[in-house]
Amino acid sequence: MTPRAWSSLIAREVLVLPALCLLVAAGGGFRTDVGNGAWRFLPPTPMTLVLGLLLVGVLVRTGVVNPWLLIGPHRAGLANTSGAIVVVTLLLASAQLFTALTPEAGLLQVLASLFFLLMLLNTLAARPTRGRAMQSLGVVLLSAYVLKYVVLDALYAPEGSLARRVVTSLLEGVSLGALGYTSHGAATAYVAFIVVLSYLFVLVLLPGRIDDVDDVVGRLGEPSLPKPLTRRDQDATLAIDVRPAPQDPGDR
Amino acid sequence: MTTPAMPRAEVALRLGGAVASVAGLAVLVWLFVQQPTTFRELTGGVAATVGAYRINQADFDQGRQFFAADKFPEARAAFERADPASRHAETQFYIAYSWYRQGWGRVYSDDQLFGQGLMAVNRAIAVAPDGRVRVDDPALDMKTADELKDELEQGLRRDASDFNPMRVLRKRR
Repeated sequence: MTPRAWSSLIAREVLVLPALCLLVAAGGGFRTDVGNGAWRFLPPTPMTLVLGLLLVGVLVRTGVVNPWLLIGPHRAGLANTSGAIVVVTLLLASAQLFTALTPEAGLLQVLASLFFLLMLLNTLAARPTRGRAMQSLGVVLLSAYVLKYVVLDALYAPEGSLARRVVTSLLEGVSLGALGYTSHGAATAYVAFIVVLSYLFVLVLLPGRIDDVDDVVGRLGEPSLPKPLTRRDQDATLAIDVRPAPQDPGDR
Repeated sequence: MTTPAMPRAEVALRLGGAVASVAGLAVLVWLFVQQPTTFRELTGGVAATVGAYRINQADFDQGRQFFAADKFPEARAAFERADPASRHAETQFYIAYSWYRQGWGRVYSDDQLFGQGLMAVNRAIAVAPDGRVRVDDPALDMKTADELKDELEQGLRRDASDFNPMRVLRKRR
């Protein structure tokens, strides 16, 4: 996105993006008790803050967000304030996204945090392009959602069947009771789903880098796809006149 | 580097957005600190923050009548109707006192009921201005939350005084 194009989307920068990020930040910590339905709002832990910071780093490196369009000397002070608010709320939302997708305690929390950490470091090292990074994030986030809120919640549900209880007991026995997972109330899963989708929507709305040409030019020896013609190329093509040159009147 | 002057409408939009975002961040911090457990607590907490929260006086008076008649579960039900968001220090003090009186025994006190009382008195202290709660009710022997909290903590503590036979002569406060 060009600076001129981004500057015409003021409402997106000052209202839509901060509002969506704050929604993700609040919803990411939302939990309901499976017994009495009591609410809880978990703040970000130091680990989720680190993961959130890494995720923002990945978004910058892969061109999903171009921080230069949000903050810089070419912008006025008030515009820089708006950009800084987007960055701060994005960091908070990224941290709370991991709060939503990571189990709250036990060995599973450690394993999930480690998985996210390695995944982010790997993405930083691979440095995919904007489109590929967003596809990859979408797959990872939705898979983590399914694992936590569909598989684990069903497995640890208090009204589970005998087979489920046997599986849970085996898992707890193998891990010497270190898994320590507690299931959530039904509302938690719905809120977490909205959180994940909202975060992915935020990624779409963020001002990305304009030099994202991965879909056109192959990397690391991949065969390149032909570049689509730009307007200048088309003009240049049209400028080449393939018709035979008119005869010089002097020749007649 | 000089930047072009912003149109007035853009300045207003950016200022409005910044104020709304800061307000949103404040609400987020409030959620993490206050931890409302129900929608009623959430709305009541927001109302209390802006000074607009009021208890239901009729239910509160009914609760005090039940309390005076030693009908503690009924009293607590009325008090909870009166203060659904648990934001009124005096009502929470009465709820804690009802747990104390119900759990008090001449030989031993009920730890579970005393534990509930301790949670309620802590809530009362948390929502009171400066953490001080004083209720000048002649029917109450303990007028402050500090006294009530100490009494509840003593009831929950295990020590040599628990085996003192003179304990049976003490009075419910």
